[in-house]
Amino acid sequence: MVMPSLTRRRALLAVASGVAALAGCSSEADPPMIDPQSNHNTIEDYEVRHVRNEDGVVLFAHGAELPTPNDEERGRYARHGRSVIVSEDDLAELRFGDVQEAGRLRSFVTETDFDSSSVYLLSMPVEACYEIRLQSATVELDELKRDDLQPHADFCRTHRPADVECSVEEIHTVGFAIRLPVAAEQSSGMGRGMSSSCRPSPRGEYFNATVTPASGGGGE
Amino acid sequence: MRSRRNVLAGLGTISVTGLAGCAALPFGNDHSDNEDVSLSTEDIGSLAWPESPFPVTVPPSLVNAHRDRTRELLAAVPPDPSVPNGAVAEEVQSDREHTVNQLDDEPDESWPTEELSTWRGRRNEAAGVLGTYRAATGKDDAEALTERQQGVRDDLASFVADHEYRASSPLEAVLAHAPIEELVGDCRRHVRPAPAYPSDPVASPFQAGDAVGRVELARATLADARRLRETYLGERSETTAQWTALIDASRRLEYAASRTRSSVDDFLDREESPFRADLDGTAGRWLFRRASGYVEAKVEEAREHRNDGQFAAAVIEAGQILAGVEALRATINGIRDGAYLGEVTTESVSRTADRAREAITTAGERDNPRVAAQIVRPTLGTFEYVTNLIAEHYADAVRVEGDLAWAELYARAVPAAAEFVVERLE
Repeated sequence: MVMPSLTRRRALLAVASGVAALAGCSSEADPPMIDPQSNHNTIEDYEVRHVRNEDGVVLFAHGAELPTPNDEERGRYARHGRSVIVSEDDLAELRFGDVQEAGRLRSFVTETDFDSSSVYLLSMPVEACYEIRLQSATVELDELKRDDLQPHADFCRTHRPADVECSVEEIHTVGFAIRLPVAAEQSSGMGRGMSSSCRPSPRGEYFNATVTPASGGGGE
Repeated sequence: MRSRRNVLAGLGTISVTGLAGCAALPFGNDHSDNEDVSLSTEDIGSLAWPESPFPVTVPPSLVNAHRDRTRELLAAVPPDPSVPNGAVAEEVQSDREHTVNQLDDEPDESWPTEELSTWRGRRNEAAGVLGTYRAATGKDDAEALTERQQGVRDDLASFVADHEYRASSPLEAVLAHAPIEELVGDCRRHVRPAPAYPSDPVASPFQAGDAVGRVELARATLADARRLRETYLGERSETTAQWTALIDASRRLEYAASRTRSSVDDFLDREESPFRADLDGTAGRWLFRRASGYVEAKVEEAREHRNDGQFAAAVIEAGQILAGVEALRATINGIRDGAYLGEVTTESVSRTADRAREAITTAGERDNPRVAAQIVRPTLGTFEYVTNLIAEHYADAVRVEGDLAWAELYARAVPAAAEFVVERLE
């Protein structure tokens, strides 16, 4: 597979994260520095496919076999899945379930161009009367510079609408395939956060324009 | 021409809203080797303001109402007032004449909201002349004035109770209601019973005139708020209350402004210069002082407006903070690259002014011109202020160049800031 150049990856990342000025734009010998506070960079331009299986089946797993939902303890554990897919080889190591929701995740991953994108795939159990929402996706910028994609996804959990008929005893499975507009050679780690509230995060959005100073003050 | 009082009042306003953060920097000194650089207003040229940000046309009836009332007030003062104290008589006569001469003078203002402000000032002066004349001739208006104040407060309370930011969209709610919010705040301030009407008006006729004028100004201010709201709603067939949407957008933009500002935290409220280069006597020093002071002051101003419930103003101020931070970042990068440190000459000031004018004009011609006009407003004040300083021969060329350089950098950040704000109002 032809991998994009490091420069191109950085450009892709800069576009995706909205951070135009990556480290190294100011003289390091002249502190203090302008600090965009974005080492843990938010990716703004991601695509996501979200599915919900009301039978609580396992949607995907590494290896040849999927645990069955009837296997109480093992099935509950196995509903948790996380995988970062940066190449066709990574995809080949995954096994998806036979249900329609798993198929939708698989097709979303299959349609990905790994020359320019990667996919962070997650699944998790959720009580039938609740839903889980993706709030943000970030990557470790320093690691990505070393071609190592370490994504982090933040979710929140909240009640489904009151008119949804559901039982507190039932468990469903939700899956998220997050297509990140960055390419990498490998992934040595990933992260996930879950908030008990889906209220907007107080962390504000970062504004960055491209105003350049005059070359010589009052000069031409 | 504007009266001297209006010019001074204008400068006072600019010093708060446009030149915030002008206390001397804790580092460096104000010495300049360029004190001999002479400047004339022709050197910086004149600035054409962008189109008015108010979303509908303001009819002439609003100005006419002020003119009619001003004329009515002045008609109650004889052209040759008979007051035993000749100095008082002379000043009343002079003030009356000055205000009469303004009746047929169209203010040189580009935005109708600014023109209305000028006319409220004239109405205030006319009422002050009448109040002074009545006090000087033995009429005690204390009781009537208290009643008038109470009436304005009642009307203001009623107006505020009904103010739910009706508009056709959250964006129009900002554009239409920001000036109304400002008028409401001004009215509340003008209608306070202090300084009080004097207990012995014959002894203090000018103090009496000031009190009478202030209540008239409060009435005029509330009338403009009401008429602007009626004018806007009269031009829109379908409007809904946008109050909640405005509060939500204001909060989101507050967070964005806060996070964006944190990128330059190390450059705000500094005890020591953040630069290795010696900035003494350079335009860069004034530029940095202006750029950092602006962000500090605007953050405080936005906080006050949010606390006061002025969310349309807070939305605009969030955009101004974003543009201000970007101007500061460009300032820092520029000074570190050696810009703004060279010799200041008449020509260099002139070139900087050209760039500032071009940037301001461009900001008003891009997408979202109305929001951009609101965000770029502080640079219009800067240009006006600098022009006045030069006209009054108080201008220091180094400082002028620094201020104009800031106006350029700020104005160039405005289109992106306006787009950022508009996206969060959609």
